[in-house]
Amino acid sequence: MSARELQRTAIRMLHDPSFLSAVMCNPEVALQGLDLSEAEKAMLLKTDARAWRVDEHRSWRVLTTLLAEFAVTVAATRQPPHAFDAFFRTPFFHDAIRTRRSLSAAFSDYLSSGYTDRRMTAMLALERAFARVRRGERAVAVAVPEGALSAWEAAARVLRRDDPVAALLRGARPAINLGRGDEHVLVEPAGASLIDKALYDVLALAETGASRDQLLACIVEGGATAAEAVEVLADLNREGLAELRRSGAATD
Amino acid sequence: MEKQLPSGPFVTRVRGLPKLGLGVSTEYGAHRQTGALDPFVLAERFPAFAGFLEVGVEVAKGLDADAARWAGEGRPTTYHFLDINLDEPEDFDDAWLARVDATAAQLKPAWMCGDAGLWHFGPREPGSMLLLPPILTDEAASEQAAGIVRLRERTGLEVLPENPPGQVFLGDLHILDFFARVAERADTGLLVDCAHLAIYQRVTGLPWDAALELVPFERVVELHVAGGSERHHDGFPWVDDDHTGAVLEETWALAETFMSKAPNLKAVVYECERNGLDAVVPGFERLSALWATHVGA
Repeated sequence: MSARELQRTAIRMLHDPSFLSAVMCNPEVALQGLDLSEAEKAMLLKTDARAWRVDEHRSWRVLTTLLAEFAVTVAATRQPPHAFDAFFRTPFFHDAIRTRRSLSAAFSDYLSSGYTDRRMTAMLALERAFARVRRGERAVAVAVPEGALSAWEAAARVLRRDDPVAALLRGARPAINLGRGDEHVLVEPAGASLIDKALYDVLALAETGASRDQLLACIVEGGATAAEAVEVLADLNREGLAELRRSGAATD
Repeated sequence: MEKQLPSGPFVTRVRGLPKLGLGVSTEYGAHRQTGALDPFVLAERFPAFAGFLEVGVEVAKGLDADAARWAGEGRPTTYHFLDINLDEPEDFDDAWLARVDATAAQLKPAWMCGDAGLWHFGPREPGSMLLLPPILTDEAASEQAAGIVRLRERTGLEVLPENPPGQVFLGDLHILDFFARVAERADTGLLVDCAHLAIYQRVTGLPWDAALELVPFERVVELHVAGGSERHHDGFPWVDDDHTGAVLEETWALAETFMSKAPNLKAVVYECERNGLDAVVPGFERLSALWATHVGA
């Protein structure tokens, strides 16, 4: 038995009417696998099902924050905002609640799972990076189609003239035009900028926890001499970009 | 960095807390909403009703200009947290604690307080904010108490848990029993929200004064009184804790009961920040009369 599991089950019931209904009508199946005692299950079942739904706008309030954070991505899907309420009925939402995971991360995974459109995936890659930096990461490097960053900036300006969710509800769907090639973007708290592929390759490799030698080799592969590579890596580490400490490698 | 608290049990420490009287609550941007109460106008026209300002704080937002001005003028405050799940040790991250320290340094509150429930699910981030009651079990009471002690030792401030509102309550304890256990295990005081308690008694089908014999009245330091709107959903009656002017009669009855029985009561907040001055004066006058009768100077 677990008060924490009971609390998280309650959150799921508050946000997903289908789960609420399943718990009330078929509890043995709906609550299967959860760390709940029979007494705790009984606590859920003795409540009035209507009491769980008095706040009819609860899920929408949560969703508006998620839509605002991924506004350009959502616009790129060409779906109406209310369609994304389906998120609360997916394992992405339920697993996030059960594991205390970020809802923003779960929502971005949900977006990623449902759409393969090149424009949408490009915007999602950027907005995921912005979300990560907003939550304290030093910087995130992403590879996207050519023109993605400028397309995102233009779209964001359109959507954020006032409230982005209000803009989405009005049907704002800014054009997103991409080139055939690739570009590489570094997202930092101060903003996003284009970087060359060589730098992207190093940063992407660093994020995997690569060793110092592997990073130096990557920098050399990008055109630097061995001596230059050592300096470059030292600079990146001083700026907090190379995450060498995470790899356990020695730092300069 | 942990601060020094006065030593000794709570019944000793409480003597050192100031008697603040009647006050009003706020949170970020509250007083800039159309028709909202201006605490400075209240303080100027009815100083006895604005003995202190209870500031609702999400550290991510910080203090608004009104709260900063109030504190800057040296007026009394209390710090009401809006962003900590007391029963989740992982919620006490260094960044949050540092901002709490900074905010408390600016507010110089008489104490900290806040609803002892679930303020957000998952990591603290936009969109996850909600307020759910705790699970009312003995196990959960111990977890809440541990968090209170953690926060008190960090801030050097008394931390008064408040009973949250809700429409669904889970657990095998009455909410007053639950908070009595929390208070004892944390050796702390209590903030009793009379409006929230009235809602609880209604939702659970109990009389307004059920289980009052379980209350450790000597630990009750602060009360909240607020209006609420009676609503129905598919025939299910419920009360929306919307802080409108209409205070339930059960809420008034509870407020009077607690004022008459709590020997260490120091403060009462009338949560009416969304209402204009003329609308809130009658409520303050009623509270003032109760205070004069039962608590006094």
